[in-house]
Amino acid sequence: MEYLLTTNSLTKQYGRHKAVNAVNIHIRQGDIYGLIGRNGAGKTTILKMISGLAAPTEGDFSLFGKTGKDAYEYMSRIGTLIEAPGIYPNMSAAENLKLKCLAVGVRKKGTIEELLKTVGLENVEKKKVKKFSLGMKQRLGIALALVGDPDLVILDEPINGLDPQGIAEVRETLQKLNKEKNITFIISSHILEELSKMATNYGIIHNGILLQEMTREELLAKCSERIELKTDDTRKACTVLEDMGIEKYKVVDADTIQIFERLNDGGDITMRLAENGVKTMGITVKNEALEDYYLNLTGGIVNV
Amino acid sequence: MFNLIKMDMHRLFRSTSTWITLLLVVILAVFSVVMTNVDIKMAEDDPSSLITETTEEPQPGIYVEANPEWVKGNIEIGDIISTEMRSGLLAILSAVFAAIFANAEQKNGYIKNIAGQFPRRGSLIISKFVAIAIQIFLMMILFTVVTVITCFILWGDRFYLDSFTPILKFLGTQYLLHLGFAALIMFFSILTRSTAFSMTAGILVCAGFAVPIYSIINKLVTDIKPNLNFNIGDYMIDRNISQISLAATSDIMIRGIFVGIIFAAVSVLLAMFTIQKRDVR
Repeated sequence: MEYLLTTNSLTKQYGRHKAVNAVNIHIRQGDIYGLIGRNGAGKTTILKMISGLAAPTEGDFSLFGKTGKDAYEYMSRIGTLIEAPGIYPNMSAAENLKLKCLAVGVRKKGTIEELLKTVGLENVEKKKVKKFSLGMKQRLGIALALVGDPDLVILDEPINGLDPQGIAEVRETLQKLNKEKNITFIISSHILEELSKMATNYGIIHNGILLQEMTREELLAKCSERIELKTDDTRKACTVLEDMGIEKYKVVDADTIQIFERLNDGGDITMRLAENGVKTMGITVKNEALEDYYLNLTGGIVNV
Repeated sequence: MFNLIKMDMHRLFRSTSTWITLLLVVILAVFSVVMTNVDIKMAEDDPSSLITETTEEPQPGIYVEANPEWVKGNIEIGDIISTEMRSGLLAILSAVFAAIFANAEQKNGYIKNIAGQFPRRGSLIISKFVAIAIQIFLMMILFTVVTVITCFILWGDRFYLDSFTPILKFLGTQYLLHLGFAALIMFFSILTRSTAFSMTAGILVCAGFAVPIYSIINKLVTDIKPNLNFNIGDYMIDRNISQISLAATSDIMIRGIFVGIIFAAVSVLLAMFTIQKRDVR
């Protein structure tokens, strides 16, 4: 079995509108697959079809090498968090997990405590979920997806509503689960920077069509990091950069220059600019590669 | 399937709606008996007050018709239970509970956590139906017990038990009818994804607002086949709940049992079909 999950011309049509159009996704065991697309691109619809929550209008998918009705036998090995977490607000986090454990037949003692610890909710005790913050609800949603030790976990915008620390914690948790338990993840997100920190593979979807699939290495090869220099005199700064032997640079606007080489020489560049009387307003190494790449691929600035 | 039933049973006893419904059953049972007592007291002062105008069709509304014989004589346990249960109060609570319980998973999105793992999603309906059946059983027992206790407190020695078997037959038939009605409301709630709509529909049906529709159908049938003695109300769940009393004949009881079972089975099948064929939101 080369792939854990493949879709074969997966299509979902609502009336005349094709929300998902003949999508072919390929995911290997152990991948963290980042599904990238703007709002309404069809990400959630794809994830719902793969999760068994929506029926494809055309096409099908293979799961663990099985297709069609045979694949449905393996649906119990998929954990999902689609859109907002589905939780009973008048119950505690543990009670919500208990219900899922009962439904899927998990009887192992300590499972609930372990799951709560995994997502950082071990201290919520009997607090009702309706009193949780959005981030806490999101973590509980992830814990629910992890009930039953699934092989494939589908997370739709899992870091929505999380603060920076929460995002980092969830990222670490997912990477840890991926590494230690070899859980395969499909993660959709519009926070591309964050996705780029954990995804090993990417699928870029636009208007229901899968534009491209690539590995992290392929993406990195196509995109590059850069120094973003803000200065009070770009003309003079360009002369200084050329004197330093820097040729790969681009003047973006009246006070910003992007430099694509010698990324570790920020200090030298600042010193040389100062020696030549050019004031440095700011200098940072930026990595917006994924977003830039996405924008170029889908044709312009969009609500990613 | 068995796991899903365990899940819904766990949810049943941890849901606020379960306990609130049971509390309402107690309150309404007491309230209903107290109001009947008020009617009896009034009738003692003015015997004509219990005589109601008789019409061909039952009038819309939720009411308990006190037996004029209760004014002077003794009050039999089965009689009072039958009268109170036929008022439709318990049916309303059954409908309200079924609508809330069946739709909760869809409303809060919890269904998304489990539906995908059960390719035969119809089993989600069966587990809910089992939980609702248990809750209605508890509601019926509680309603009966509270009614009996309240009557005993109010009437003491005047309150007596004639025979237990007819009460059991009556309660069994009414249980199936209430279950069929709850299953129908469960189907409405799955179909419309609206708790409010399903509850309102249930309350209106219990209050007799479907009777004019039945009258129109009866008239149409009579126009087409004048010799046919047909009353659609005999085959509708709400009319059977209000018509089948302790004194009902075996034929009527059996008809009620069939109506309850058929309504429950058809509603469950339709709800299973709906949830299976429709995408989970």
